[in-house]
Amino acid sequence: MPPAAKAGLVDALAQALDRTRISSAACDRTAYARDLWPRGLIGVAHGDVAPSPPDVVVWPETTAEVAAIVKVAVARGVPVVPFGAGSGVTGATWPTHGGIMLDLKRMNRFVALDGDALTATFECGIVGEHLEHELVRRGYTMGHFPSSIFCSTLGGWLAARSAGQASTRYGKIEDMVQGLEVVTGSGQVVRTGTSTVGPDWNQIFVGSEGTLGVITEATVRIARAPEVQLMRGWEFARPSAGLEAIRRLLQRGLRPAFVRLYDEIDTFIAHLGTSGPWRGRAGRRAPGPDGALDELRRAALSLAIPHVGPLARAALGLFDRVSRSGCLLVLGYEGDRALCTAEEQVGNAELVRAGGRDLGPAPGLRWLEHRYDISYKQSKVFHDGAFVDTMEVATTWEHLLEMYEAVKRAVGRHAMVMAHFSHAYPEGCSIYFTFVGGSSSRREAERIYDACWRDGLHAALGASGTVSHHHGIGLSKAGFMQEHHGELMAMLRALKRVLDPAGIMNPGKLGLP
Amino acid sequence: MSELLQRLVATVVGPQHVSTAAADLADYAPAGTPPPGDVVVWPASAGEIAQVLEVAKGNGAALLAVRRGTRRRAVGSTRPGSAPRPARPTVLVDQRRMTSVLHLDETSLVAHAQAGITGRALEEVLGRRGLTLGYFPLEAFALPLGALLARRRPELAAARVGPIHGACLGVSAVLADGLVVHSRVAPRHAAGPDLLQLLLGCEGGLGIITAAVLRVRRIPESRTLSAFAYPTVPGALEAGVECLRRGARLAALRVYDAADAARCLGDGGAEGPDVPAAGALLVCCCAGPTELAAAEARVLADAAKAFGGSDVGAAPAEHWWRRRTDSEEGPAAKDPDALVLPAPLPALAPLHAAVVSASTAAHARCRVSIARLHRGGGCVLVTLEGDKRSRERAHDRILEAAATIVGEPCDPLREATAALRAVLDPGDIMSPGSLAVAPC
Ligand SMILES: Cc1cc2nc3c(=O)[nH]c(=O)nc-3n(C[C@H](O)[C@H](O)[C@H](O)COP(=O)(O)OP(=O)(O)OC[C@H]3O[C@@H](n4cnc5c(N)ncnc54)[C@H](O)[C@@H]3O)c2cc1C
Repeated sequence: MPPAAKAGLVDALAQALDRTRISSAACDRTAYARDLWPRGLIGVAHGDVAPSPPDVVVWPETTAEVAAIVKVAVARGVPVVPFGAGSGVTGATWPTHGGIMLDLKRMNRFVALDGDALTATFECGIVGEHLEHELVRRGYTMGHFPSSIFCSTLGGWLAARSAGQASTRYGKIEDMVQGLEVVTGSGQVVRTGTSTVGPDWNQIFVGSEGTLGVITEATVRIARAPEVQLMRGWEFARPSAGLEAIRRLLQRGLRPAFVRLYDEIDTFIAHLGTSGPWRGRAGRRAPGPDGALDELRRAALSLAIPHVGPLARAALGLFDRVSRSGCLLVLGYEGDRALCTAEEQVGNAELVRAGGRDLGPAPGLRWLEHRYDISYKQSKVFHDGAFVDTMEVATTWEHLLEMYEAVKRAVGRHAMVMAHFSHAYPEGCSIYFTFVGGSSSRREAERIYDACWRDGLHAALGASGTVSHHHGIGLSKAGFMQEHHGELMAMLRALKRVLDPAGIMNPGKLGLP
Repeated sequence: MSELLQRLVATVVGPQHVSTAAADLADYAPAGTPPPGDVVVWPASAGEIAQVLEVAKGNGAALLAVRRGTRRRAVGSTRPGSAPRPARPTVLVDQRRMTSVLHLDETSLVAHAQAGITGRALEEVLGRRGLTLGYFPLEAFALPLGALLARRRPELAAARVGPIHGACLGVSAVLADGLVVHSRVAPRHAAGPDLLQLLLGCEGGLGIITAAVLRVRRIPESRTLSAFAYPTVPGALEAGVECLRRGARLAALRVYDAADAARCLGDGGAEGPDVPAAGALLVCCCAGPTELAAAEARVLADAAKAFGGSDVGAAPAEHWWRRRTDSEEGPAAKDPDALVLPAPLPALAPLHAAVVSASTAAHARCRVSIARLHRGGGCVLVTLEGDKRSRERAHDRILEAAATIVGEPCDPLREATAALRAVLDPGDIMSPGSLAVAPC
């Protein structure tokens, strides 16, 4: 940020909110210098903890304060980066141009619930876990359960087009949004609601990653708290067989809440996390992450860092075991008891017809119990010079296997890659690739990391896939926006000009200036 | 000017696909009003539309996407006959030759078709493959896809999908700068704002939709129909809505007041359904895998009983189903005594009450049903009866009452929409005057 813009910024902001909620202290600037983008974590492992710190951090408590802050920023030409909880994995909150980091977590109030319309309104800084508690104690659920539910906010979900684990039943966040309050890049407060004429503004601000404005409040669709959860595990010989089963099930009109099919390696990794085989026997542990990542890390290192000789042999053993592990499908229904029971009955018959082996409820219940575990243990991987990241892309059923093979091949040239298929819809599905690679040199690790993304996303787009299904774009995929949207990018640039004429909102993200 | 435009446009589409004849132009105007343009062109592709646009631009003319036959409205325009006549030469673009189904992906259940195909024609192609767009009101099928998607139509909704634009996964469109754009087709994405939503509902003002990709579904393998009588309309409505709230994915449901039930379901010599005088009839269709449809029917029956309903057997529902599939259901769009009032779910009961009191105050009789219910809303369908003056009075009063409950069509970011139009179409070439509505 130019020094002229910086001078007096804190004083100017103090006109908008209390000084105790403004900080330019080094520790705060460091804490807000990055999100959980794994490329940044490679840097952290090499001591680079604050790649691009903001100049100032602010914690507004009201929409009026947010509007006043944005107006200060407009007047001074200073960037503003909205910040939810920083759980993003794409660099979307990296203040690459410095400026004001606008943390919304003090705007965390429950506003209203309408049991007739089945909607609820919250301020956008509310953390997911707290939001769900507010609903559950009133007898409702939002049905949005990202693995990061404890460390992400409603605003972050909306801004990044998040998906929860029960998306097949409840939809992604964009399916839930009913209305937004937004402070645009010119500091104007607007409410979207349900427009009957013109663009659907909800769907324009959803996914905008802070580049068009700050979402301060949202009304979302909710559901009654489920009476039952019916979980089950299934085994399929190959991913293609499992996918065919899921497709048929959804196209017959069934709506399980949870659908997760692991490919052979991902199944094996899940399997490793158990103290015994998960194959359906009650009392035994079903898939879980403990230990699995350690093994994965060792395997990845052995592949990526050739001098780790003995581990390379372990990796070969691992692949041998993988080829025999089959594919695990975790499937669960939730909601009204009578409807879910009927759905499960119809669904089970369909899965058996498609060649699935019923493993009983244990693997499903075990997954449910541990569904938030795995993600928090990843950082260990980085300590040894390896990296792990996930690439979530989606396409229609017609192209799904082609995309799976293409991305696996492309990323597999640089790193170890596995996948599971979750977020399934009647017309298609998302694939969640996990890839692990590394090098003891930072530059080399970053080169390999970038190659994984470059080749993986080209492969996904080439196979009619999307550049992202639910993590968003941020910095990591900004260079692929043109390829994803083609000439439609002209419309995004026009939106930016209209809603953020000063160009201060989260610059450099989404492939925008 | 018209002749010049005609000649220039003919070089793009061929002379047989362009006309300045009054009889041709009159097809696009309400009877007795001047045509909305000087030249009509029938292009065969998006590329041709882009070239026609270049010609129009080069000659200071505007471009207006229209559809023929209704003699009432421009594609997507908000009110019958409301497409304003631009003060400069205007080329009308009618995509009636663009009726191909480009790809039917039976694996993903998506259909890709040109914008000029009507829902009905597409439905015929789909039906041959055991597929359907869904249980939308029949009037949705009368429109070409382009017109269907160029305006948000909350009244054209199906129980499982909601309003029909929710079935759209992608479009191709011609923008004002002549670019032909294609939105990427995927079940969902997280690649920034959903830019598709700038083209849907934009009344041709931000781009002319030339093709669309729509979700389709398999024709359900079984169907269970049921009917319940209630002492009151709100009671019947609440029972139906309760099923939706419980998560039952009903295929269709409708509430008739006693008069409408007697009129709609009691003709043809058969006895009308057994509904109390001030009461209502809830009819419902559960469709899908047999066991599931049966389970949904049980949930419905439970809810029906809990809300004071009595089972009147399947016959009235079967009658309803035949009506809704055989003929135009509900008041015909062109009937001046018919009103279709979309509203969110919680507003339906107050809207119904307001309709009844407005027509009573105007000394008109009305028959009412509540249909096209989905988890976001539904429609109150009103048919007015009585002498002409009281019908007209009731008509106006009902619209006023509805406006206070559900509001007028609006764009909450009207200024932003106008600014976006100015950026994308600085010459104001595309459907001038479109998207001009009151802010919410
Ligand atoms: C362990 C782990 C597990 C994860 N699992 C999932 C998962 O299951 N599903 C999933 O979808 N994602 C998942 N993620 C990714 C991440 O949690 C999501 O992207 C989430 O939506 C980010 O929310 P946040 O509040 O942390 O936003 P941040 O990371 O703070 O911000 C993300 C983007 O949103 C913008 N933003 C934030 N708040 C606002 C606002 N109020 N107004 C405007 N813009 C705003 C920011 O500027 C930035 O561009 C996971 C991440 C981790 C670390």
